[in-house]
Amino acid sequence: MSTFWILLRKDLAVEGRGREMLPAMALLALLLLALTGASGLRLDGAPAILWITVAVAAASGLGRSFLRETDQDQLQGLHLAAVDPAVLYLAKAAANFLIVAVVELVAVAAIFVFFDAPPPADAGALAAVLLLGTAALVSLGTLLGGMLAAARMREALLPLLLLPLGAPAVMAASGATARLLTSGGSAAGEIRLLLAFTLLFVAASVLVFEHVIEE
Amino acid sequence: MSAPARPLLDVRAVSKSYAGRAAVRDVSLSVETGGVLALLGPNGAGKSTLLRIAAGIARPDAGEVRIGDRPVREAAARRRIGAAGHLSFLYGYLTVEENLALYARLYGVGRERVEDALAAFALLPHRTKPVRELSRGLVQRASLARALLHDPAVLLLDEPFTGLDAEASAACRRRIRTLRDRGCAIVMATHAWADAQELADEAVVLAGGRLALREAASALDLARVAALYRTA
Repeated sequence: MSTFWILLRKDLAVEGRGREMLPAMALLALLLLALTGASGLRLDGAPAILWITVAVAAASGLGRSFLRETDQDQLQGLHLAAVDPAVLYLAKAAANFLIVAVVELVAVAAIFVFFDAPPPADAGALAAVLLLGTAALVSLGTLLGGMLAAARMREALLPLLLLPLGAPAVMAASGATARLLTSGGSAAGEIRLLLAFTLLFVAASVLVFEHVIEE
Repeated sequence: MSAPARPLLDVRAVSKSYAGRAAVRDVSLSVETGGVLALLGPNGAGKSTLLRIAAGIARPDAGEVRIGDRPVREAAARRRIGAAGHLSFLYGYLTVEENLALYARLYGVGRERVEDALAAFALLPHRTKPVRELSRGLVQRASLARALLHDPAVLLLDEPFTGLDAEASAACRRRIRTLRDRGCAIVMATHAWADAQELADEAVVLAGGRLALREAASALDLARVAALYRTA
């Protein structure tokens, strides 16, 4: 089994036992969507609310993914085992992606319930926007989580950094989701932008992650 | 005439500061194959920092560390090191067995090593317990089992007997002697001077981040060590 799969399996097993990220993030997303849905906001505002909700939930949860690597210096145990920092980042980002994707599934279902959204005309394009928007947020959030792993107040700092830095991805995903849910137009431009955003942050993280986690 | 043997662990003139405060200053030491070095010194003397530098976990501001003929920064060199310190490197939500299996896979060693390690550190009755539910002594045993899983050539131990009961402590001492006999180079930070005299060939005392004393462990002048502790 490759190191990537070993680490991904470990991260999912730790989350499965500890449930430190997913339940809190999903509950936060549901609450935000239920409250905004109940306040009578129209469908036009739902995509923005969906992506703000996903971004806030991700910002609240991603910091914890590195907390579990630092409470017993596990990150240095992996370093000592000569785990490639790039592989460590990719496995952590993949685990975070799966967790945030589940939160997003819950959030999308909630949008249809609370905002009475119609079925999308192009479900494939909507799925692409959802996946790439999540990937963009997670690729950046995982890098920031690693950078803040040893910082005090990291749980407060991560949202302060992720939300503004991830704003272009949130806006692109939000605009594309709105078009696909309401007017049925094309979201090809936003999909390309989200793909570029994700690739940029994954590539940058792979290059710098060794220095990010170094003591 | 043959060249002198290269030390297995070679720490050369390393220094390290944190936030402008010097933790380790120009320290050099080396350990040959089968050598045991005791690292003594009062709290804050720089022992743990020195061990982290030797393990390649912390990058020194100056100096270098070599494992055999390779710098410790190289992955192949780091994989020859086993380290156990104040923190266990173990995941609290995973069981003892899962943690050891994780590190065994990362080091590319067989499943039988996990069984050997569980047996060697009397962890078989605790193998399915999550690490976060274990007592401090059991976590220490699991941490030592992890450190030795891949049969390291260099072993770095920071207070290895902390939290261990008498039986586990005796087993750990036996294990250290066995490893030494097999040629493992061992550095052991300890506050127990008797351990240094019993297990080590050589002892060094750190004080204020500097190497203040270095002599054969059997000839360790305890009065002088005590004086260094008082003045540090």
